[in-house]
Amino acid sequence: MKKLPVQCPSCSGTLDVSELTCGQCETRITGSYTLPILLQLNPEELTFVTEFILNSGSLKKMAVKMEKSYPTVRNKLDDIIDKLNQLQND
Amino acid sequence: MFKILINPFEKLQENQLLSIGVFAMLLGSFIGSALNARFDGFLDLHFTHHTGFSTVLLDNLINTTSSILLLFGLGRYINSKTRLIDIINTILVSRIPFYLLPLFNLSGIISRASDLLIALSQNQISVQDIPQFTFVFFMVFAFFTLIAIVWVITLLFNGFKTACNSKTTLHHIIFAIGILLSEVISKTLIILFNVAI
Repeated sequence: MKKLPVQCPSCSGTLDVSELTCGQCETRITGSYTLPILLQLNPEELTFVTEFILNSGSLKKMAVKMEKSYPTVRNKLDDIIDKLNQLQND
Repeated sequence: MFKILINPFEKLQENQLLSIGVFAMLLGSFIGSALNARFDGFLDLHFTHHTGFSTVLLDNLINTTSSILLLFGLGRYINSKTRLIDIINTILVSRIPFYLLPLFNLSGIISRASDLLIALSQNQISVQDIPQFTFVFFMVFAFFTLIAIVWVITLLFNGFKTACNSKTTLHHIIFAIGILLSEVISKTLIILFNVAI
């Protein structure tokens, strides 16, 4: 699966969406759209958020599933929350 | 395997860590009493000529309880989400390397070597009176003691970091102060409440 680039490879700035294409009829929409903050997370963080939702927000279940301790998983979530707050304030 | 030895807090669940920590403390107290070792301070180990299980266990209870309370307070200051169980596990598990050190005193050699070195420092005997083997054994013991101290501090650091998600230099300084204070407080409490040998 292709990774969605969220950072500019040249200046590390946040990328905007400038073109959307319909997979069926190939209609193209161009413009400048900001990526939703969840999509600005890196793939690993996005996978974590997805797993968090799929496990009904239970960090204990996630810890067992990921074979990590509870505080390790909670720290990861706290780091993502910090990053989301930062992205929201930017 | 190496990662588990220096940072079991990342993967092992809290019940596993608690079981290992409690078992290690009981076993360590038994080894200490059988081989005449006292854990008379959070980062202390001394050999005597006679001690009992209850004395060594009380040493360990004072060491762990005082450091748990202190590091839990500091952990809460760093991160309000810090849980008591994670600090308890950090303290209990991090002491495991210390519990292995009394094994060097299997035939009482460290106790005797300590007596000789004290006598030497007080000019009661000369260097020639100390057998060469005793010197070599003491050096080997000192080397493994250093490894154990580094291992203990590494476990403490990793456990505390995991428990309260500490990251910044200030957090690391708070941790270092906590360890030093733990030693001072536990040593004082043991002198006050557990002088029996």
